[in-house]
Amino acid sequence: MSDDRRRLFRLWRRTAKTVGVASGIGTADEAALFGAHEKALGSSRAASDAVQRIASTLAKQRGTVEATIDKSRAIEGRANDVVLALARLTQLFERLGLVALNAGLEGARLPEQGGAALRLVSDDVRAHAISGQESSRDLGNALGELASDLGQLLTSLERAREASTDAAQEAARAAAAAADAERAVADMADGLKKATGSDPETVRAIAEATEHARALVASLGTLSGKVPQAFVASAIRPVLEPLVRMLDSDGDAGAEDPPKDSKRGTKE
Amino acid sequence: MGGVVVDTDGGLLFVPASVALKFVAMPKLLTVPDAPPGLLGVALIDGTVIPVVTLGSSRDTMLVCTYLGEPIGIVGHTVVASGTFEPAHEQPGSVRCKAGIAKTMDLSSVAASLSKNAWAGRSTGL
Repeated sequence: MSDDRRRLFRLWRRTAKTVGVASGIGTADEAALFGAHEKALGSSRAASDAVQRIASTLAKQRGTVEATIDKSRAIEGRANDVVLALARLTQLFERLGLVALNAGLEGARLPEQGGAALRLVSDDVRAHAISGQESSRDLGNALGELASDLGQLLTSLERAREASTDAAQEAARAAAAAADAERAVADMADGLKKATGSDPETVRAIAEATEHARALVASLGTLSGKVPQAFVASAIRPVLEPLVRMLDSDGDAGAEDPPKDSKRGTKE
Repeated sequence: MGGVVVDTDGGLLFVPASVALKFVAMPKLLTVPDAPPGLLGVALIDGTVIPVVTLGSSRDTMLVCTYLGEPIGIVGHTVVASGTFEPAHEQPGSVRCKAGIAKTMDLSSVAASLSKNAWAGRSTGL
């Protein structure tokens, strides 16, 4: 534990020195810069993934729409076949009605007893023929309306397919732009390293250590006035003893040019 | 009285079974140039070319009748019933059916008017 802390302290001192002198920005700014860079990199990757998922979903949607169009066209063709079949059926009922009329006419020519049965059958068949004719016409009209609705549905599906195609093209452009952004943000990391003379891991570690130190100071400030200072010092001395020794030994080595953050951290 | 009752633009008409031969589906008609207004055209029925006259606007079926041994096609009607009908005593020469009273169709007058109109047209042309 002691080696790790010494290494962290050396890194902090070295980074604080180089940054403070070379670029005029502090460790906190560097941490914010690298944090922002990481967020930008993560966001650009997330955007790229999202755009790819959108493109994939659009491709599936387009496939579904095309399959629906094919099925609708097949149904439209079958509906037209059924309409033609119903037209033939209507003609058959018309012919059947004519046969019944002619049978009735023949029954009228026959003597009363023989013709009566024929006329009865004629009337019955003609009634059924007329009923079948009307039913087949109604069915044909209903199927015609269905085919018309199906045609409108096909038009809507064609529009949906065109919209899906456009959206897929836009998604492809967005995916390319997201990939470019991701590369640019990734390249930006090298520039940041050169400009700051540090690396993201070090800066992040120092920032975390600084935050912990601030939290410790804030906690001590909360306790002051409520608890006797001697009591607090005796309670935290065993924990802080190694840190104090480390700061004393490493602080002597870097006492020639202490950075601003270093001064503030030591004071705190 | 045996026969068939048809509905025309001029009302119900009764065609006796002795005149009415049969009903056929509406055939293809060939128009005749300078034909009288009542003559719709000619049609081929059972291998015979017959004149076709019209009684109205309907074109559902054609009734083939015989007049003086010659077939004549009649269109422009809707069939009401076929069979035997009771004579309507209040109107001599008419029959009673469910749809009302039907006058007996005078096929001779129709044929005569066609001939007269045809001759009249020829005289006008000269």
